[in-house]
Amino acid sequence: MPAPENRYPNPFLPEAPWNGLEQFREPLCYELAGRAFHLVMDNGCDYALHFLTEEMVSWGERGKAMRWDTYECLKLDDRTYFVNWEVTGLPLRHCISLVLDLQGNLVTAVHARIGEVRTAPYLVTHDILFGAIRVPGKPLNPMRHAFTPNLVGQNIFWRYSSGFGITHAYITEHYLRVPIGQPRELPEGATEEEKRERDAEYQRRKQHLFEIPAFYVKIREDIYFFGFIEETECRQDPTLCGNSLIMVMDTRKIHDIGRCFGSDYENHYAPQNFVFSAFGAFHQTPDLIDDMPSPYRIM
Amino acid sequence: MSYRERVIGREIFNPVSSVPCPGGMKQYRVASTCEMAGKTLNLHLDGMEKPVCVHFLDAENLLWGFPGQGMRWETYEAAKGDERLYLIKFLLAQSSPLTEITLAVDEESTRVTCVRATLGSDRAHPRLVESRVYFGAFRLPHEDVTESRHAFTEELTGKRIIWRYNPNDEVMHCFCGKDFFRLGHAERTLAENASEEARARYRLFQERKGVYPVYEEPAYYIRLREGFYLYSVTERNLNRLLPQQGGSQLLILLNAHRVRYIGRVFGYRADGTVENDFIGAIGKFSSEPDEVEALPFPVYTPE
Repeated sequence: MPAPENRYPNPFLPEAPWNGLEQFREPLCYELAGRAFHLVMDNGCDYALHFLTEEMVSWGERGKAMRWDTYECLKLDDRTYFVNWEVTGLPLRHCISLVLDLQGNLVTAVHARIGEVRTAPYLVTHDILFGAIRVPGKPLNPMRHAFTPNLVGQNIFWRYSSGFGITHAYITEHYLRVPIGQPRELPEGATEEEKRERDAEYQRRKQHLFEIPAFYVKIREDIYFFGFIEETECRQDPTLCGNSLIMVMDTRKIHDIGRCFGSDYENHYAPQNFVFSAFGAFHQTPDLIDDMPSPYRIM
Repeated sequence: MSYRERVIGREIFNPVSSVPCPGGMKQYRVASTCEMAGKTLNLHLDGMEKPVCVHFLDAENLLWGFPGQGMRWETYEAAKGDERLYLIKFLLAQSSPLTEITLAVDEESTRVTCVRATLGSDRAHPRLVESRVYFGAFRLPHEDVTESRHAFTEELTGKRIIWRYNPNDEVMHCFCGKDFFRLGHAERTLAENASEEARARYRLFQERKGVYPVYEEPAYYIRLREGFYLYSVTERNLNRLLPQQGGSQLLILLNAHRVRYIGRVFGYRADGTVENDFIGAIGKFSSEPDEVEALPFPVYTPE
């Protein structure tokens, strides 16, 4: 993805201390502090999850030692939380992300790693695991969050900051594209040079289909969990990073919360792992990508 | 789309959801917070003789009272403006005139701002919200109450923000002076398939044009912490000129760093029901002045 930049100068913050994807992030959620969960996952393992404080989580598999890490949490709605932490002290980078659905007492976990693919050392790989939350006195919910085709064919323009937004085109159950026909927004009064830069960037995009593998999971009515890894580009040029972005989305409010896990190839491959929020709009704008064959996969 | 062109009654396009989008100023408001549950604040507010105890029983219910007196139970809602900065609102049950309390609580500094708003206290203007600000702080155990206070500020004067409330709507807030506020000029049109409610709303805008061509209202601006402000806009001029319109108070907790806000609106809706809801928006500062900023102040002669 092109590196976002804030094109709307903020008189109160000339230099933002955060990535352009992070600007509209809501305050971190501390509501889980002090709470514990028993997760029964479909890999056959039970896990304990104990949020010790607003920042520290203790977790582990049943019968094994618990370990603690530093987590961040965002709240999508009254019953849906997104929790993310990086596992410390391992030779490869590991990231655990959870969608805790306290309405259905269900959980979906994403276990992401960096460094498993020898030929693309910065490519993120991940596993998606479904499960349920054991609630004392209640039978375990036999239902699961599940992969869904419900979003196929939809386009959402997501705003991450004052000056950056991007459209996600959910073209199939397994792929996502970025439309070409969305020239970058320019501020009112943009200079000729800025316009030229925008046009040149638009031309480059026209010549290059951005298509990446993605997953789509339904959490409940109007709540979806989706994500992708910037894998296509990374496989062609392993010096790129192949970062992973995952998001929980409320389609009614057209709002999502999520995290980016990966590395910053423009900054000496500095580790990246941050949570963000975005606010969107569905649209039906026809685009060149709608009928474009994929140069990356057999269709 | 621009804040200068607003289409009244245009539905938010949503091909996925089973029920319509919330729309309006609630589309992009974020979830309420339960983080106040179990906490107790011993509030010392300037201008009040006694401290006030506010005990948040759970995520919805609180008790409040003065020392040595019975505690009153109210239902509340809280939203989070930043780490350890909360906006809390509750109506005083059975109050007359109808009274709403909004607290901006900064847990880092212990400073608190309380806005007490009443609806219907002025019989000549029954739709008009009157509000009073109390600055103060909450007391930590075994510590003196800080002397430091939130304070009125002019730091926002001359700035403007274009707020986006939903996929269809933007407005520009122009912080023209330390005690007044204008909206950037917008031309309004009616959507082809607008509902009857939207058509009625459009008619109200049309009726305004002659007597209330510019949205200019009294405001106050309070600095909460670096980059965070609370500002109030009360539709006093609109209500004075058109007694069946306006009168509501908008109270916004602005995060000027991330350019987003949470806020609450208190007043009468067009249908006569009371509105006391949280709202939210994302935005961008604009360096381009709007035409309304060039107008002399005041546009409307004070009473």
